[in-house]
Amino acid sequence: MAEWGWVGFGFAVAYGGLAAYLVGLRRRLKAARRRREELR
Amino acid sequence: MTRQARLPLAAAVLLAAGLAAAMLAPPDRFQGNLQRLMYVHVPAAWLAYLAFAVTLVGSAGWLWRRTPGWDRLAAAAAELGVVFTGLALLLGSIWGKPVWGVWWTWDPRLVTTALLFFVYLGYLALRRAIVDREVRARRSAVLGVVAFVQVPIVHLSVVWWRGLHQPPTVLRPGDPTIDHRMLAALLLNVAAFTALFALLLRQRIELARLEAAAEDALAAAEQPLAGAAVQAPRLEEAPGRG
Repeated sequence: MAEWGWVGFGFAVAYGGLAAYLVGLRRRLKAARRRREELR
Repeated sequence: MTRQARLPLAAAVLLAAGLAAAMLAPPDRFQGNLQRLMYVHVPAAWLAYLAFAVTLVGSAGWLWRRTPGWDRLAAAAAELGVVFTGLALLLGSIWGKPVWGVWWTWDPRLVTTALLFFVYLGYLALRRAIVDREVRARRSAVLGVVAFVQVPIVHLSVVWWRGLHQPPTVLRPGDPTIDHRMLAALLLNVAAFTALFALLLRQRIELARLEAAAEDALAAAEQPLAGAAVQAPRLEEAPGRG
């Protein structure tokens, strides 16, 4: 793989990984808020 | 603009600026463009240090004050620390393959970082394994304080032992041994990752607060049934008896 290919791969993993965690966290937050409403 | 919306916007702007700076910074004399991976690998590693330092503060705060807010802070930061350490390991591997020729090697920095990752993964497992909130907070606070010892060991591993990983170029005694344009791009990316960390930490603390409230609500709902659940079954109702 060319140099820029490795760079692109690394940046995709970094930004993609952090974005995936952020999306997952927002889903967990939404589920927790829904659960709080159900328990009220 | 609301105060809530400022942090996501700042993180997005800083990440975009960091990406541009990483692409515009000069290439390395020896590694060429591959060295640009430093602009995500190093911030991920530093943010892991910061996250575990926040876990240390939260753990020490809980041991001192015994208030649940400190425990939630420690737990939230530990999860983020594991994410950033995992990312630093992955990105190091992606950088290592074209430069060293291997995805993984038993280098002291790599081994100590992997150990750091697994110990804090254990911290998260410990939190899930204990139901009693007080016991969970106490045991994880002790681990949160003790486990932090690894952070300086990871950082100094490249100084103490000889290996493939390069020694520190910025967080070292004396001036940084890095081109000032590269340093500026690196610090911009560190600022971007720090803003994202603050955003994630805020949301993870909120999640921990909601989970604690749900635990309280469930405990309150189950309270009247607790006595009934331990009553012995009456003989005539027991199964298998005519």
